[in-house]
Amino acid sequence: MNYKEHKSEPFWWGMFSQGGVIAALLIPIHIFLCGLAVPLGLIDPELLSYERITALLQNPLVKLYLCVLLIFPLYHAAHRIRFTLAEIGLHSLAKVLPVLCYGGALAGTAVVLYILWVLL
Amino acid sequence: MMLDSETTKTYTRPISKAWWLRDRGHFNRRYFMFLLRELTSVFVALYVVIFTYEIFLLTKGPDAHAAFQESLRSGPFIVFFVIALLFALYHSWTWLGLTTKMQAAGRGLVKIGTKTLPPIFIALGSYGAWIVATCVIAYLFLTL
Amino acid sequence: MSDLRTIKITVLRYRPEEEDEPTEQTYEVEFRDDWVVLDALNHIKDHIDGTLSFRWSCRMGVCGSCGMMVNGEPKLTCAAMLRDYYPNEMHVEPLVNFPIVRDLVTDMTDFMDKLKAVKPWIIREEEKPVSEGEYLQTPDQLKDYKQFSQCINCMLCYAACPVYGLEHDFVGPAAIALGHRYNLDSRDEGNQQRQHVIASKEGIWECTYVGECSVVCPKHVDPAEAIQQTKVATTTNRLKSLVMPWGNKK
Ligand code: SF4
Ligand code: FES
Repeated sequence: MNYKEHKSEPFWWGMFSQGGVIAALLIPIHIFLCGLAVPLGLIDPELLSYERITALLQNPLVKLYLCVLLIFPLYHAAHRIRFTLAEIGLHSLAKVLPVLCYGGALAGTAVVLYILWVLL
Repeated sequence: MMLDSETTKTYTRPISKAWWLRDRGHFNRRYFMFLLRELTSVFVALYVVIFTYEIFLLTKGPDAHAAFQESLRSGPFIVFFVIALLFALYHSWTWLGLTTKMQAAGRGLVKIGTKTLPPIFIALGSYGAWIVATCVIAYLFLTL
Repeated sequence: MSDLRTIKITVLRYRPEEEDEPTEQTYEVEFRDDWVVLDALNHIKDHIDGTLSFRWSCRMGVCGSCGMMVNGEPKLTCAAMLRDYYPNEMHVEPLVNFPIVRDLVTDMTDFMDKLKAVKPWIIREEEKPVSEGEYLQTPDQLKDYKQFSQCINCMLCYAACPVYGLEHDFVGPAAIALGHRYNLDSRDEGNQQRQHVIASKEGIWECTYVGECSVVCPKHVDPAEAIQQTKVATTTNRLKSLVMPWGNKK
């Protein structure tokens, strides 16, 4: 066996870990507030009204926060999906999966940036 | 014993494709929980996609936004968010658990002088960070 | 002195000169309360069926040669009590993920090759002459790697690892943990010579932290943790060398 230190895996793994931390700390409360509390009427629906959200998005700090929240977890998921698919039967695709998964995360990154900093 | 694998006849048992469910007639709960742990990322990603779409709709005006908010009240969405929340919480639990273990084991990571911080403090640290982040986000969301 | 009880043990058998695939054979064994699985196998070999092959040596959890699948889990058979399985039937198979040579004996060549590849010995840039004495180390420095030095090469962790089962090129838990053990040793200077193996595609990056290796390890080596620590260190070093390319690598 001829071993060679792998140069790009640390990068993807680093993004995966960052995304893992962000998802662990921030995603549950977001799901609860926007996905359950408001739709179920547990808290005032006005909190997610068009006026309030667009006003909040004027603040660059809010935009920056959303960038972090929406981008890093994509790499986290891409990494896990890449390996899990190989582990549950697509092992023969082990070479293509990284391209598909990380490619998806990169595309997602572009979409998020475009929406937040160009469209809005 | 070292063998010449070229000349010795051996038998290699293939691993079952559904090894996380059953392998050679045995079920291993930890393999199954591992797969659930990895599956959490799918729900995290789905939520991120939905959230991004919500933000995108803001560019389409108040009506599009209101219509989507209305559809979020429907049964399927509620069920999805309940499941997504459970998976997201399972991700937090497992992720922070591994972080805790890693820091407790890591050399020099949490040392004060030559003393190593007892693991319970490290656990308080990472799960504490979760509580703080959750409260801060909730507070900002409600008051900003 | 406790009474004798009888337990049914089904053993996976493979006799390459007679059959192309393993078959099962069931034995009934009268056992005493303090018998381990290995005692039952020795009883079978001595009194019931002398053709059964398996490996063992120390009978005390030190040599690492008696690892087998007991009811689907990798175990040292000299440390697995029969009474913990009684009154259920038992299944004993050779360690999975390794080729079977005969009955419960597996071929460990692959593991030995990987072990050698991580150079599990102290490497010095320059050896000092013997006359200058030994390389000293404080108890604190010993603590840094002691846990990872407890490995007995039993390969239970490889049998527990689905990643190794799917990808036999994976360097695997014990070999990486042992490389890590020497990397953490204050007397060692061989980090660079191991990194291309440990941080290769087939090394740490193949691992998805299933964590089962650490669960089954009879010596609490915690190979999963060794891999995790190496991933963090490699990633931070890589980041550092990107941000500060002039900084000298350790
Ligand atoms: S790490 Fe543990 S399970 Fe793996 S070979 Fe060493 S002692 Fe056995
Ligand atoms: S016989 Fe030596 S470890 Fe079991």
